[in-house]
Amino acid sequence: MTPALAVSPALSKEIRALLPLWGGSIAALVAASVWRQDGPLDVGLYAYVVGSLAIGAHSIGQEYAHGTLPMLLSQPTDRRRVYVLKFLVSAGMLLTLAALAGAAVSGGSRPERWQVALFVLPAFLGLCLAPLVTMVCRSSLAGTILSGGVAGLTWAMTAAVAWFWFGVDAGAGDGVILGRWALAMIVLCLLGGLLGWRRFARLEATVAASRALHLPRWQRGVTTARRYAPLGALAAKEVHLQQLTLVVAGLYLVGWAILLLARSYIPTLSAIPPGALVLLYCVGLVIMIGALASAEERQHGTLACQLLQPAPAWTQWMVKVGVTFGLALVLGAGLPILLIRLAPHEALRGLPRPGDFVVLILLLTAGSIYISSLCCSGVRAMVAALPVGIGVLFYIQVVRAALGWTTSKLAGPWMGHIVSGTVAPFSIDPGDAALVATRVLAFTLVPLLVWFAFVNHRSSERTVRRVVPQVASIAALITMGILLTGGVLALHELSSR
Amino acid sequence: MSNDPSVIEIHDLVYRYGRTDAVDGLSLRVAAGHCYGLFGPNGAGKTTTIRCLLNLARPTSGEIRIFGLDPIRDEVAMKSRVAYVPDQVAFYPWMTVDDTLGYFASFRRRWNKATETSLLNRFRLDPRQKTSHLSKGQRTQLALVCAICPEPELLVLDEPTSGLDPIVRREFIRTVIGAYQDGDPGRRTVLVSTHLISEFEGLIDEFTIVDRGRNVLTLDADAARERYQKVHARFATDPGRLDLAGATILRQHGCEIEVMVNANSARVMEQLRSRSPETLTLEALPLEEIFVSTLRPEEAVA
Amino acid sequence: MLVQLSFKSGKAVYLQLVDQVKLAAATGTLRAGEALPAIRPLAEELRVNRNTVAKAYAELERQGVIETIVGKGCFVRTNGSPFTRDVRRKLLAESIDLAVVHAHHFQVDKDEFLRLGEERFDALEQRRARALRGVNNHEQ
Repeated sequence: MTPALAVSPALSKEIRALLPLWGGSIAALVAASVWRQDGPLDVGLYAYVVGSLAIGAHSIGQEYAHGTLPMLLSQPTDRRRVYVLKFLVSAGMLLTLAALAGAAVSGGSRPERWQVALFVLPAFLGLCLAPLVTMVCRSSLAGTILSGGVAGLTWAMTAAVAWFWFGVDAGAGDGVILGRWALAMIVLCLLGGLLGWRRFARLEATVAASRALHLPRWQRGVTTARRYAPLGALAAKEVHLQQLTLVVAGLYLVGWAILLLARSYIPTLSAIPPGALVLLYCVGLVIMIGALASAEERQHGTLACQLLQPAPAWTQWMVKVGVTFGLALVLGAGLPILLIRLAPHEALRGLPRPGDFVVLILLLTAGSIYISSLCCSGVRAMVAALPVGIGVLFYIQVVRAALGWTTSKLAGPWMGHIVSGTVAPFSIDPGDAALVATRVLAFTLVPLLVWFAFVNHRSSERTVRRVVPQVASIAALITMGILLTGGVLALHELSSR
Repeated sequence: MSNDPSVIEIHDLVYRYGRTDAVDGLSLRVAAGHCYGLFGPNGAGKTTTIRCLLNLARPTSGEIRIFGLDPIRDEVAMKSRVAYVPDQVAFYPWMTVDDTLGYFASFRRRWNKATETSLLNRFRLDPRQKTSHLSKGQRTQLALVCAICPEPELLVLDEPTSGLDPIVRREFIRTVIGAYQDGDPGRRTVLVSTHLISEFEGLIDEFTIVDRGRNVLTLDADAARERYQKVHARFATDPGRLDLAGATILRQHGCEIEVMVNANSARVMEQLRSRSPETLTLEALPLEEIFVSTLRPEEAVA
Repeated sequence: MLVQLSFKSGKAVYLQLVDQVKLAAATGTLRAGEALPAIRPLAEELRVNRNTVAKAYAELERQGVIETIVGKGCFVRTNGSPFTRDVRRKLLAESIDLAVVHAHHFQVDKDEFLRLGEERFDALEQRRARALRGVNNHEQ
């Protein structure tokens, strides 16, 4: 076979393997740019960063995910050629993604050189660092998350070093820190790329199964007594599945501690607003928790064995949900709130109140669990969460707009604005109305999502026939919630007149 | 041992995994054109040995030569003459059978399309079927097709029939004999690692029993059958401790005793006859019995 | 021709095959000039190594039971053994020696041994005659 022909099935296989991730990231980017959100958190940026890391990690991680590593490595082809092929495919995808992201986020204006450099950085990370981390951890999900974690930690360390040693003041701090960080990251990436190349050449396809993370086991003596403690065992298993979450929370804690330490030197913080950072962490963590809960367990293949244990499936699911929500509340809501309380900052005032924050986290966790119950791997669940989330927000906007429009046709434009929530009725804070709606939604939506996720998680097929009614009922519930909120607001307005 | 050129030569292979030695000083030699069996209990180091052979794992020490080539340095040259069916067969789930065959064919210079078609017909595999919808047996059959079609000089099978039903197992062995061995006999070597010895008994020319990372016994299959025999004796009264040098006492229960002899059956029979037993029989052992009796004498069953 | 192999008999597989072919030729199941099954299908059917069957056929050819015609296959020899009478006697003497040793171990005396020999010879002749009759009936 000629070399050209020899490349083409292998090439198409590499492309096909990464296509869902690439497509998902692009969909998220497009959705984010179409529906612009002027908030502290640029959703498009998040999609771009996570997508880049995921693509880079999955280019090697797919072999672990499908178990095809021994077959691939036993083919009579140069390993370097295989690695170069994977590298080229992911490079192509990452660069197109970077270009699209740049265009989407900058909105068409000409970017400066440093902005361009900064934008290519996640692609570079995904290309060079993510594969190495994936090979070390033997899983795409761990590769994605930990590469991001390494980047974040490097930033915190660079900032700390800059502040302590160079005594940089607030004004010139941002650019210098960013520049130093970018340099450090480039060096890390080059090193990572080299190490990754070397590692692949010497890669061993051992029998050990892939786990999301290989944390050292805490020393435990040999357990002699086998007690009957199903709930305890289930809970321990769930926490074990969520190892990655604990690691990320730990990284966040370390990063925040470094920032706290440096606060005495810098009155204001740098280019990345802390409010955005907190929200990024919370949303990201919650999505990851959900992805690990259902999708990763199914990917490990332990689900069938688990469901045959003499504990009702419903009990197992409740334990899983309990642990998941517990971790989300503690690490996703409790930890940031605690840290903010410890180090109050003006820039963080825009965050919602703790009570509403908790409700938001609950809602997001339930949604994330539902999405992960539909996906077959953790990485896909994480990348899918973003377009779905954007879609949901978009849907809410549409429904609100439609409601406002119909009401304004029936009862005048003022009523229309009240009902759609754009204008506050008398004596009600506009923000409160949205939050009341969220609370109402949460109480009804969370159990529904958990129930649907349970049904999906248990069965091995994901038929469209089952998913469509679920999505329809969720949409109906959201619509009803919006209508209800609108009605309440209207009533309040009418009664207060 | 034969004088044919050797296809595989392993000298003192050691592979350390964590704190244990998965393989601890294994040596073996596979001659060209032979079918070689690697027998051993689970965890004996068979899969690890095979992975070291194919450079899927790097040995801690020891020397390996396949066709005289070093698997690490001359990787591509060696692998182009070898085909491998792993113990956990996995394919990319979105590919169909046809895509998978095309994908693996793209790595090989030689691919016998006629063999591929005849084997697909024989196994009744639909080329348009997605691999994720295949049963375990069908996946193993597909892996075998991918291994046979490039007509390699060495076929390495790692626990190929574990988890398959007896019909598929027999079909698998028939295919290896028929489709693979059909070519030039001097250039068709098979290495099988298995613990299902009775299935592969007919196929194997020579075998090595591996236990705890070492080779316990290396023999020609026919020679093994002739040398290893079981002597069963029943006495009128309990004979007490019998001193039978050179034989392994498999079971001694009251008045009955079972002994496995290794080419010294006549002497052992004489010794037992001198104690005037009620019955004294000599029986040949199939390979599986030899295997079990060599490794765990107390578990050998009549 | 049905071949029964036993892995418990302590005898090499190829030798068992040789014996069964010789038995078939002797009892008339395989007639002179009839073709033996090809190596590949026989190996597949019995699930034994192809080399084993090849070795058995080579041994049969060496003993003069079959002959190989290039391009056509292996056939049972029609014109008898290629060996001289002395060689044949010597080969048979070896087999008889083995039987005599067994007789000694089984404590069978000489007269009984000879009587048994006659019995078995007659039995084989009867089987040959039956096989031949069956063939004749079939051809009529």
